[in-house]
Amino acid sequence: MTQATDITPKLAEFEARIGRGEKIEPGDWMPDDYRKQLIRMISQHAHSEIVGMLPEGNYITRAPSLRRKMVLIAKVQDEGGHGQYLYHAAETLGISRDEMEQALLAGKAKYSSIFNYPTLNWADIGMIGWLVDGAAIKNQTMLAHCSYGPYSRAMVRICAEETFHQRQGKEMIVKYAQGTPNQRQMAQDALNRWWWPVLMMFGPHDSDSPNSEVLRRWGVKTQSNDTVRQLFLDEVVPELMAIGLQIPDPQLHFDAENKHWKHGPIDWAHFWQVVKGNGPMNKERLAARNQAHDNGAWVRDAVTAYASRK
Amino acid sequence: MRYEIFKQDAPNQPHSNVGSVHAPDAEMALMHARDVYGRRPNAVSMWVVPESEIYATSHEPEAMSHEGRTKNQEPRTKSQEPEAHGSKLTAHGSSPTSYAVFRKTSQRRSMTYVAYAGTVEANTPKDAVTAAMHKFPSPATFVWWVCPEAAISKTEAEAAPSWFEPAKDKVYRQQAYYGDATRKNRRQRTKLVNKLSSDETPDEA
Ligand SMILES: [Fe+2]
Ligand SMILES: [Fe+2]
Repeated sequence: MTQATDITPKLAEFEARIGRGEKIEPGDWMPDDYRKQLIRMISQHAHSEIVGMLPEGNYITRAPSLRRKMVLIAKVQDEGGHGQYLYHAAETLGISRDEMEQALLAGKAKYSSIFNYPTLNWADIGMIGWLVDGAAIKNQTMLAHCSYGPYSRAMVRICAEETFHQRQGKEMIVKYAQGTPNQRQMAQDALNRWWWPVLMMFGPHDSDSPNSEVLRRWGVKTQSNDTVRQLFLDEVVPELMAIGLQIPDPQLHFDAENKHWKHGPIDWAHFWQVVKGNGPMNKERLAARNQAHDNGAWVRDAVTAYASRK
Repeated sequence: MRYEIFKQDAPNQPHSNVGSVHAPDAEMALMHARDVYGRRPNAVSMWVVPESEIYATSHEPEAMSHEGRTKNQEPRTKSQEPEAHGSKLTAHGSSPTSYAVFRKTSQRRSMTYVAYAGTVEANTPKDAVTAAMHKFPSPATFVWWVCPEAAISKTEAEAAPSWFEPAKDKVYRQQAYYGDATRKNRRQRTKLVNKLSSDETPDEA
């Protein structure tokens, strides 16, 4: 910001464009902070899609039927695609996919903490589809309105694909909840373990979210963390109750005046521990990602050699 | 190398930019493009173009004139060799080259960026943009992309069914396959799914 006289009209024009609902495109002038915040957000989002393949990919060989297996393969493959859409969007801001990938493999990059919890049995696959992908859809629907063209387009494409991820999970949990006592217990146990981490997916409360103001002003995030969390809560609470599952929050109640479901306090100290790398699966995820990358080295070498000899 | 991907959803629709892939050559770029951007049943053809062959305009006309090429202009392109870049783009200099023209004409929320408009003959990419502005007038064009037509690699028409048809059988990739649709028979479901699977902006939740 040293050339304030030079930058101010550009910044004004930039903000006016966002005000008119225009998309900012690669190559257009943008404030450094806009570029930096977007690179941070989009790369973290891309990493989340990639790491997000691990807890579910684990279960492909253990799916209980061929149908479930095909569905799970398709879902995990979609997540890999989502990672690629997002790395592409970040690359248009001047960072390379290689830099992002190296940061992830070295453990320097962040990704959604939800993937640092273990998948203990098959019911977890249903609960992840319903709640984790369901929460992601809420967030991504908001981000589809983002002022940066490539991020918005990636989000529109991702949202169109995500809906099946959520539906297949919900279908599975509804069947479990209506099944044998043992199946009902599995669904309840999965909900008990995933509920709070899912609520944390929307990020800290608005009062503790330092980047929110500027991201809102520049049309990156068009709704606050708490607003999106509330949308999610109001949708899933009645649905979970309808199938007879108990939400593990004794303070959860319906606020009749505002017509919203209100949750009890979230354990943010725990959240920050997981963000800092001390969650139950942080080390395993990083190790698995590195192993997958190393195991694929021969493929990368082979295609490069093939291309160079043509 | 990074390749920009253009997907066509139906024979009467233009190839539109959906994103990019990394690949060592165009053949593998097409294969990655199919896996990354063609998992849903609405592709009939794909084109790939090396990123370095594309000349793009931005919102600021002055950026275009002094940068030459504005796509991903900073900070990365600056650290590369602008000379090599420029000469590659203008190598076709002496006799006119056929350029493919792509443009963005809407600010609506969308899955796609620039769409194919047609071709122009020009000596340089910059002239190609000027020629495109005359040949393809529209009330508003926000972004122009041009590339030598020869730089485009395409899926072959005969191979297209084996590339893109299998996605149609994977009905479990469509939300309509679940929930209320689970009781309907498979044919009804497939019909519904095909109807719902066009590449449009999804409904808001
Ligand atoms: Fe995803
Ligand atoms: Fe998903």
